[in-house]
Amino acid sequence: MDRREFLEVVAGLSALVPGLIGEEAYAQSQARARGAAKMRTLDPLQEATVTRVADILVPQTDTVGATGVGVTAFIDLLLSDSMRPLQRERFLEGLAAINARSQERYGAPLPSAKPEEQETLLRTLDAQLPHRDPTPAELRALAQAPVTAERGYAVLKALVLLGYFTSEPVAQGLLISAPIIPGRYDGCIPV
Amino acid sequence: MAASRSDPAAGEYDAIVVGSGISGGWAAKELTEKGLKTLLLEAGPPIVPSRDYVEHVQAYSLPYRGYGNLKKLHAEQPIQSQTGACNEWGAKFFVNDIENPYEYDAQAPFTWIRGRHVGGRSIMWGRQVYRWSDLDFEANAKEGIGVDWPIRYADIDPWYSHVEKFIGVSGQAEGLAQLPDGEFLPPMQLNCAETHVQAAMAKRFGRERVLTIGRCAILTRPHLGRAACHYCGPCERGCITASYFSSIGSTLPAAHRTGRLTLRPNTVVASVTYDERSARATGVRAVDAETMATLEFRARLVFLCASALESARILLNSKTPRFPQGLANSSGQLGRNVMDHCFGAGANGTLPGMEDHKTFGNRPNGIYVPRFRNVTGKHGKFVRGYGFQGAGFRRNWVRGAQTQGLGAEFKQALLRDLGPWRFDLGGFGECLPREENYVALHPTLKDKWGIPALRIQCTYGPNEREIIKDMQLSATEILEAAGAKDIETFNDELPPGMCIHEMGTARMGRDPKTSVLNAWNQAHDVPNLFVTDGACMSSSGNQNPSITYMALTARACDYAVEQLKRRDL
Repeated sequence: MDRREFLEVVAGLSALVPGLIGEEAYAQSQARARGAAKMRTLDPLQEATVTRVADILVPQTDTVGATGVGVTAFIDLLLSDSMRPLQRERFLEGLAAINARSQERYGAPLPSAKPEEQETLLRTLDAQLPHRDPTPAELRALAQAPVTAERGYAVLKALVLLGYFTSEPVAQGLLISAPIIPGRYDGCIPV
Repeated sequence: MAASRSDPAAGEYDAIVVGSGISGGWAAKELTEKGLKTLLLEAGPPIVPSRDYVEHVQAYSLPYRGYGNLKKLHAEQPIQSQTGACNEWGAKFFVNDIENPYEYDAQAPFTWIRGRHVGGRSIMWGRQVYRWSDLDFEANAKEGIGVDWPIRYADIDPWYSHVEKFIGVSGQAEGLAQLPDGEFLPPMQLNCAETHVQAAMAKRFGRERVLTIGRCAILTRPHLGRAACHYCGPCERGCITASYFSSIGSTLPAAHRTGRLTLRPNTVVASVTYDERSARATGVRAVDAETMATLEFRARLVFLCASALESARILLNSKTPRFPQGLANSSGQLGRNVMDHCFGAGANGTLPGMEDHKTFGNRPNGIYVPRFRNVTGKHGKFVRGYGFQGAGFRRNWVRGAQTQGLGAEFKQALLRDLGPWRFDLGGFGECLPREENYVALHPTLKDKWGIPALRIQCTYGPNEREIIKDMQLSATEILEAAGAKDIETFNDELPPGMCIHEMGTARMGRDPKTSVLNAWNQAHDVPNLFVTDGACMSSSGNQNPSITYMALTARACDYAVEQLKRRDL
């Protein structure tokens, strides 16, 4: 199966799933759908953390959600093949910081906390989200400091959204965007 | 050692042009059209548009969806990948930094962004074209900075027209003295936000600060056999319809049509050869990039168009008994006065309203605010000035990473709403020529082809620092006048080189004692040697420089051919 087929299968499957089966069975079906996409960098807790955050950020609704287009596998691919060692370490530290915060608040890492606890924690972290890129001075400070749960969440959120919106089913099927070759430019037309 | 008889480029030439980018493509076109048998040498490989251009490739078709393979980029292109276009799509259009090393002090970085392939940086350039005016050409003389330009606007004006008519420039005539109008194709449209800011600026600043659509070398209607822009967006990845100006799509086909052009790719020029007896350049020495063979080519004229720093490097590496510090360097100015444009500072904000309107198509162009500092008045803290480039835009889903929210509603908003209108203004500032900003041959470091690498020493001075500060203040004033909310200033603290407008290393001037080139881009010391890329610039202006290189190249070619006919070379 090539990548394109894989995405289509996953997207098609997940569009049918949530209303029919329970969350655990849904997760298992997702794992089966991923099949070959065995994680190369993320360990089971890290994988579950990314998947839970992705599910909460961009859930399955009447349209496909983040895990339905394989966002966890995409992030694992970036961690394994693209990111430099320090970047990868900092990302994984961020996941650990999110789980440590969950442990401290709820006595369990994020994937094992209750669904409402998971959402509450992510909303708390989301409230601290910077609304712009860091300045050069802020970047220098971030590079020196340990990765906080807030920073880990901000980076994870960016990657989940990238993985979701650049996937073919979403980019071509769901986004309101111009065709690849628009043929003209209109500067101001009604939405 | 000469090129062997079997070499496809063996033979005698009237002219050799080194470099096939924006300047070299123009030199090849003009010289061949004027009847000269011309050899065009390009250091890098050929580009095949149908194979190499990737402007229509979508993120989902790439392994990392545009995020790129950062490990590979860092290993092979740690310098090049600092510029946005050297990404998962376009990295192949930028050099390998390991094969093309240079050195700088860790405390004074210089980012040297290069493309080595047929077409050079004309493939990935920003396509913005702005004429200079006498405000620029007279500034050095009036302020006693650097050397006086040996030309004025009247000397270059017809050559700007000559170039514009061929390359196709879309833009709006504004009648501004500091930014003369050109031969324009119809302008691209402003969008809703830009029209709003334009009107607000007119109300608040009158004719002092004017917002106009970017003047760009992109066709808004068919032109000389090239198709109009189809608004796919990312020009820097190539253009299969040749709708923006590049050597490959425009000047090189014209040169080929004459039947007088020989193009030899993969030819790394190491030095210009020189005959002490006749005091003339005789040709160039080069290395075949693939076989590493040493080659020699001979011609009556040599045009260096290899880019500002490369042309200086070639001349510095062309030492002769008469020119122990590098060919045509009796002034000692060769390699000095490196300039770029200081940029990466300005402001942005949110424009409330207009959310029931959007754009259609991807306009590969933005807005321009021509220089307004030190035009009529005098700013107390700095000389010269800067222009703003920017755009109004809606961020679509990209805003999500910096927007609070999660869950079904958040998802739906990112899928269905385009987000508020944002407006961004970034300055492009003039950089003063200073002798202490220089390039020199490195004593030991060499590139993959055994040619001495450069050591680059270049920092911004107090004038550039004041300009960077003022960009943030005046951009804020403009956004405030337009009623923007959440205005934020920015200063990316970019090192010189990042604007990719490096220039000044073989400046033009009236006096052979203080300049390398005369008013015709001709070396004072070597009459049949011309340098017409950014090296020739006596000051930097604040306008994107490529159109000026093109116009000066065409002008120099015209002069050189006349001189050749009169046997004065």
